[in-house]
This record gives sequence, structure tokens and C-alpha cells, in this order.
Amino acid sequence: MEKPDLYVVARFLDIMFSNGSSMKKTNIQMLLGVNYPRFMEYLEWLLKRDLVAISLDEEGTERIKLTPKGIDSYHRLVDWIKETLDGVKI
Amino acid sequence: MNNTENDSNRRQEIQSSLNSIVESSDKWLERLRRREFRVRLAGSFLTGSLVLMAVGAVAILGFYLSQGEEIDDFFEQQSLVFQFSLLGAAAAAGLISGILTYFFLKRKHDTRMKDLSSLITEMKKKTNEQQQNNANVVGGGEGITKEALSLAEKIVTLLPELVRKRKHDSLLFGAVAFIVTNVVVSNLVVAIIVGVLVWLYVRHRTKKSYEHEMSKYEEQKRVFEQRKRDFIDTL
Repeated sequence: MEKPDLYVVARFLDIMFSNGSSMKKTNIQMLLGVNYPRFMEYLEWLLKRDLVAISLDEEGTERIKLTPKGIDSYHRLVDWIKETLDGVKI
Repeated sequence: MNNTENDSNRRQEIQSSLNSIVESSDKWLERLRRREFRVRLAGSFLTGSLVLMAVGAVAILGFYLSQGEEIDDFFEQQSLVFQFSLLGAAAAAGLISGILTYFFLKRKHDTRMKDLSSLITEMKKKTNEQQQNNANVVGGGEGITKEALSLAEKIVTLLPELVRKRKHDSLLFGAVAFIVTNVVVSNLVVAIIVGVLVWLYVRHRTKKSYEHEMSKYEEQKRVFEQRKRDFIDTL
């Protein structure tokens, strides 16, 4: 994926942050509201940048979790939106 | 300080930033509503004033042409009741058109604000749910960054649309200049020249200020788009 959509990335990080614990791929995909191939593209993009990590639970199912870098990026995103809203002049 | 405490502190910081985004959004909605209200009032006043002058002028011209008398003679020959009726009719036409313009603009503005308003309601709902879930330590809920991003984008897109074109302002100034000059110097040709000059000058000034404001907002929109692209690159 060349240039991801900031809205989808924001939503992805949002879901991961709001749910706190690790999540199954299908649950994230459903909440994200994109098709599976598109979801996998975004997941790979986030994995490549160490924003999320995959681990296996006791049943051997893959679970996705925000990494400390991911939480940091989410924090920056939230601050960036706040600055943008405060910075717009009327 | 251990990792859990660190994580908890960071989560609290993020939550507080999210809450302040909701507060900022609320303030933005209020500011935009106030601005639209001012635009509505100015638009209605101008339309009302122009209609009042136009109706008055057409009525006087109509009587003047049909009876072929000088304006001064014409007024001297009419009763006070007739003159007040003429003024009242013009004022009523101005008032009605002003009120109609106000409600027409209000309908247009309300439709535009509906999107922003529902986005903010959605953000508040999600933030409350999030806070409740955090308090009950159940997790879950949804974040608001997508809505907040969308809101910021809608605001920068909406701002250029709120700039009043002020094309009628110059007409009103021209008309007032014409009337005042005619009263002061009692010369129709001079009054017409002054009216036209004032109209052209005000038109030039309002056009310039409109273009200036528009370029400011267009630049803000461009910067926002650029910052969006840049932010993705920093991840």
C-alpha cells in the first residue's frame, strides 16, 4: 500500500486503544468496516511500522495489540487533531 | 514508576486530550453558529434596505412618469396621508423581504450545520461511553479520532462558504450616497455621479476584502491537507 488513508489508520488505532486488550483480527475488521483484503493491507502497514504486534493466545489464535510505539503514535494523532482544531482561524 | 502506571498515565493523558477535542468542537460549532447568525442578520438588513429603496424609487418614478410633474411639485401636491402610505408600503416591502431573507438563509445554514452538529453529538456519545467503560474497567467502546478528523476537515471546507460576497453592500452605499447628495446639493446629475462613484469604490473594496478572506481560508485548507499527508509519513 503506497499511501494509506489517515481516516482508516486513525480508526484502526482508535479501536485498538479503546479496547485496551489484544483483539482478534475479525473483530477489528468488523469494527473498522473495511473488507478483509483492505484490512490486511492496513494491518501489514501498521505491523511494518511496529505500531501493532501479533501474539498467539492459549488457543493458538492470533491476537493484535497496540505496541508502546502504537500508543505513542495514537497520542500524537490525538494531539495533532487537537492542535489542528485549535489552530483553525475564523 | 512501573510499566502499568506509565501506561495508565498515558491513557489518562490521551483521554484528557480526547475530552478537550470534544470541548473545542463544541466551541467551534458555537462560533460558526454565531458567525452564520451575523451573516444572516447583515444579509437580511441589506436585502430589506435595498427593497425599501427600490420600491420607494419605483413608486415615485411611476407617479412622476404618469403625471409628468417635477418631483418637488409632485410631493407638494400629495397629501401627507398619501406620502406616509407610500413610505409605509415601501417599509413593509423592505421588512417582509428582510424577514423572508432571514428565514431562507437560516434554512440554508441549518442544513449546513446539521452535519457538524451530528458529528459532535456522536463524539460526545462515544466519549461518555468510553469514560463509563473505563470507570467500570470493562474496556471496549469506540474512539472519536475519525469523527474529530472529519470535523476538522468539514470546518476548513465550510469556512470559505461562510464568507459573505457582499455584492449588495456596494449597491446600498451607492443608493445612500445618491440620496444624501441629492438632499444636500439638490442636483440630480451630481447625485447620480456621486452615487455611481461610491458604488464602484465600495464594490472594488468589498471584492478585494472578499478575495483576501477567501485566499486565507483556501490556504488553511491546503495546509490541513498537507499536514494530513505529512502526518502519515511520520508514523
